[in-house]
Amino acid sequence: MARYTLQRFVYMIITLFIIATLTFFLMKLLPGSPLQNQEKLTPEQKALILKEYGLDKPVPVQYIQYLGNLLKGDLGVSFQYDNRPVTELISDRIGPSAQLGFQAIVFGTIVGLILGIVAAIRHNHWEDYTATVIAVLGASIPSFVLGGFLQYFIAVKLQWLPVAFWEGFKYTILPTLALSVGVIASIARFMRTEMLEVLSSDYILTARAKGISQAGVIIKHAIRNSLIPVITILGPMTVNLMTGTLVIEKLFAVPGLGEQFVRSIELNDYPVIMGTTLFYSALLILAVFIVDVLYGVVDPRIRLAGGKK
Amino acid sequence: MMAKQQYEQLSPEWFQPAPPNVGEQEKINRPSLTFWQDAWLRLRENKAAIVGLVMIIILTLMAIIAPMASDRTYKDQNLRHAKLPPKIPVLEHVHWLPFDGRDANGVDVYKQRGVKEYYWFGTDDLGRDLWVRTWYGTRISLYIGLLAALIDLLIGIAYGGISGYYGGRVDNVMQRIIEILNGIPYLIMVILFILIFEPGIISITLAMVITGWTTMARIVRGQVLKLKNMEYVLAARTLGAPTSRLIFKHLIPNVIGPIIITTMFTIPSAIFTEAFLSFIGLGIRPPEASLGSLVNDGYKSIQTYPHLMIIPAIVISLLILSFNLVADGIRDALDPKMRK
Amino acid sequence: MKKRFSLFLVLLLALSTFLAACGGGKDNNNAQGGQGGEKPAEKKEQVLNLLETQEIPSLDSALATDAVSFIVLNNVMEGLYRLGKDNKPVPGIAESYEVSQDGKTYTFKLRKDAKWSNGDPVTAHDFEFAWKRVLDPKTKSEYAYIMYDIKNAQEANTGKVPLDQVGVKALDDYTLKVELKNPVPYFVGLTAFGTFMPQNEKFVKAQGEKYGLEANTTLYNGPFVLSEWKHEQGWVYTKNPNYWDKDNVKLEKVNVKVVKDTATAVNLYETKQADRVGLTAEFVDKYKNDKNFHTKLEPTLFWLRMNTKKEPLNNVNARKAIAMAIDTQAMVDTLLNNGSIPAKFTVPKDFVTGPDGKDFRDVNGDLVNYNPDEAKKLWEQAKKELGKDKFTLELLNYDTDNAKKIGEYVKAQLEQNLPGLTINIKQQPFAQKLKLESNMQYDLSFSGWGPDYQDPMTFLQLWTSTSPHNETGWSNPEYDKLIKDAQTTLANDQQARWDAMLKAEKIVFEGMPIAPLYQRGAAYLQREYVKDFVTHTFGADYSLKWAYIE
Repeated sequence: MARYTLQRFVYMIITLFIIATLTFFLMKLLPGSPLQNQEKLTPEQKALILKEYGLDKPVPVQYIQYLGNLLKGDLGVSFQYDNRPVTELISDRIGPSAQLGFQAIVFGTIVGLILGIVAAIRHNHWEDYTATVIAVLGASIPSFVLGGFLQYFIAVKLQWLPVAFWEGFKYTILPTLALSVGVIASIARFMRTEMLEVLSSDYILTARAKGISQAGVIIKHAIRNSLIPVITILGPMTVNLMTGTLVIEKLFAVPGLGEQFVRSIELNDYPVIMGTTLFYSALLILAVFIVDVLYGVVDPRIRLAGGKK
Repeated sequence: MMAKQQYEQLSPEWFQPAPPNVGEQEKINRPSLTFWQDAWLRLRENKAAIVGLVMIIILTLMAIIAPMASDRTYKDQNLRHAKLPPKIPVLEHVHWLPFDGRDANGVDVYKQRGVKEYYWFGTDDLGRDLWVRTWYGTRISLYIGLLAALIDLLIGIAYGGISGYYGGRVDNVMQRIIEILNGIPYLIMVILFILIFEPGIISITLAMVITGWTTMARIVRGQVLKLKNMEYVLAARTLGAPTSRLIFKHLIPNVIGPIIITTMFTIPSAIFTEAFLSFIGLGIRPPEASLGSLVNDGYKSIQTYPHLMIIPAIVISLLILSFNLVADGIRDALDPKMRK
Repeated sequence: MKKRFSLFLVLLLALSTFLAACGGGKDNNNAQGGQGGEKPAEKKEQVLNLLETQEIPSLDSALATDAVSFIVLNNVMEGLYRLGKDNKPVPGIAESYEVSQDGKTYTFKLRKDAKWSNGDPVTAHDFEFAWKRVLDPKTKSEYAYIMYDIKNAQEANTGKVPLDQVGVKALDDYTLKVELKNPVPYFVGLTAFGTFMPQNEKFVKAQGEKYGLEANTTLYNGPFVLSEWKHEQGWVYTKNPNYWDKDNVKLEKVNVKVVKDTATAVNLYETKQADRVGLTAEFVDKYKNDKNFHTKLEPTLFWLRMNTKKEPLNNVNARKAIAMAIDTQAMVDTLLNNGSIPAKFTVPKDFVTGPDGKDFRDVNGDLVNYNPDEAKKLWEQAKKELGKDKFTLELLNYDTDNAKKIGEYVKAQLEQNLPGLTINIKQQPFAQKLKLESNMQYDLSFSGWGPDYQDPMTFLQLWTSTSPHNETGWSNPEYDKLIKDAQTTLANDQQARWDAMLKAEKIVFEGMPIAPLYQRGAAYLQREYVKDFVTHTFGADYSLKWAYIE
């Protein structure tokens, strides 16, 4: 396991390096400059300022400089937030995004699992159909629409919860709910399908024949064996939620990372694009790694490449 | 007592082995069915699936016929008729239905502005007929959603299947490629797409496919990892089945459940990705519409003109619901273990 | 049975936690509501609650580029002059000024009671330091060009002469001499602009790169100080006890929160957590009869740029046809719906008045009108002249909501009124669109311009043949000469300069390199107890100095 982990860590560094390189060159293909006031500046004025930033050099030279700074742990400073260090920008804003994503994942997974399990046990009964409808609504209504509804009815009309901002747990409830619907939907569907499959398999029959109670069969055998696809999507989904909360963050005025990243791409804020990309990719790779390890835990029959020897 | 007496009356001669009846033994009482016939039989019995199927057919027909049958087109603007609520003949007299041409304050906007025509689903802020736009949008969304789902399906299954089956170094490299693809910011790739390609159905589909298939590939890989050490695979391999047969005949059919579910989620997400793309300029060109872009645009007026968002949202939900019902049916039908 | 029961229990538990949380929220919110405005008696404590659409990128006046930074700078800093309630400059740190005969040398007398928030006096040296810092190429200021009217400013900014040759000099602690390249009639108003704010040299050097990044790494000399600044969440203005005119500042505290979504902002207004909120077209319909609903006209113009090098836009009749074929009145009434007015000109309304006190617009009037019949005639003529019957043009557009709608409308109008014309809309992200425009890789482009200073010149110099912002390929020697004269030889003769600019605007409409669409308005809700909240047409959007709660 230690060897496997080390190997994966080396791969992770290589992968990150390739992502950084590709992103750097693709980013430089985007036309336009990172200047904020570019609409009003003349080409000469632009060229002058860009020269001061060292952006007039050929892209490969800039790339090597960037890598050099990266090795020193320097991610550079932002253009859009005049000269604020990128590391500070990310660390300031990741907290709310991560908390929101985490809460949505936990809540969504729990509810999704319950719905999926209930639907599978009560296959083709009203519980099953209810779960299906909930899952479909979750998949077909975008989270911002639901967020808008929640905000208007629960916060404005009923005044049960705050409209927006990020000042304590009760401020996180509505955005978490809005965000978790998608999670609930997909987890419930995957769990239901997988459970149905497992419930009809031979070892469940055997277990039943042995006289194990229904609850015992479901908890000990069925659920554990149904978790594989759920785990598979959980990894990338967590990262997506921590990062892809853009619209929800905007709607509930959460000071998170999502919108800043999109803006940095729109404004060609190179250092922020690179810093955030590296950060996200590292998270994603880590999540995938954890998922791979979890496979083995959930289902000992699965042996991963490195673990064979 | 009784029983014992009866036993004693039994004669051993009565118990003779029956002559082997070769013909009867081999006879199959149920009609012989191919796999697909069998599946269709089972699908037919699933009421929910049939309802879903009928709904898909109706929605598809509406998407084809409705825009053609109307004398207005999806792009005709008439600012004097802008922002009208829905009004449908006959139904307009049923006041609890939202089709009486009254706005949120209960004012009959049609009368107020002297509009004689009926707009069944109302109009948007450029005065375009939402009835036509909704069905026109359904057409585009159906097309894009299905196309994207299909391509995701093909690439994802092949990639995930190969990666999971071979494992080891192949799996390692293939998974790293997925990580790299997911690591590069999607928006950067899409903006480059906007610069290089002309907007249109092909570029939209391509833009969605760049990273869309990776979820499918991951799911398939996870399942194949799980299944490839199963006894029946081992048995097949021992019997000398070639790899391709193992993957496509044994592994993939057993992964069908999660695959169908993933596809079902690909369709709505493709519909909304398309809306996002058309928002930043790569999707269908503005006067045209898709369900996703209608919902996106309508959302902003949710407090003032709710029909702009709710109607296309209902159509999307119906569409997705019916796809889900059918998919569930198909999944159950394809799985021999589900046979009752 | 057992299983179902336990599941039920789990669900119940989840639900009750949720409801408990909700309950907590409710109590708290009611308390807030009470504080917010139901009891106007309490409101008399001078606290204002505002919303902004984004974080402050920087409080360093040399680096500020965006609307929010300039608003904050205007309220926590003070330049030589500041814009008053009627948008005319009123004395700030300067008490008075003198101009030399040739209009090229300004001598400002500074007041002696102005202090920084750390107690240091505000001196002429602070201005000299700050302005030279802006012009220092190492500062990388993107607004340095706004100082180019000062002698040697451009040369110093491009590194051709050393900074000490720039025409700014502190004669003593309270006298600042500014030499200009040409006489600039609007110079005093310009000193109210954010880039011209003073900076305390000692403090700036001590803070180094941190200057302007946090509330406590910035020094203030304006009516308010930032007492709190939580990034991406908001900031708090508190009345500055060191401000020289503090007796006229009535607000004690202003809470500003960052809210990017209009619907959220409106919801906050509804729950009494905000006293003023901007509205988009969708919400105007909901609130237009509300007593707190207002609109204002901004001096920002939007138009269709036409690439005069491309067929059929190289034909003046075709360009005129396009300008006349769009019903802009219907567009502002239905689509924008926020107080915008149709633009039939290229210098905005309610922006500047001439030496005779008349609005520029009142003198020159409308220069082009919606006239589909005339447009059709001109179009047919253009088609004949070009010998072609069918044209396809690409309309380059922003990817914002409003722009999208306008693009669709313009396309429909042009295709309907000009037979044989097909418009394809090409939306591009902002930076990419600018690039395409400056390379003239477009046919038609929806774009706009806001003023850099309070003078028609900021709009008129766009269309000279040497202007980098012309981007239409249009040029007219007579126009170029009028603008050049107004900038140089006529600069000291106000009336002649004014007449030259009036004449120049008319020439634009003879050549029609642009089809004007609208002058932007803004709709907003403001509570009736907020008084003297002054909005500006140039520089910062508003001043809090005079605002108070009644």
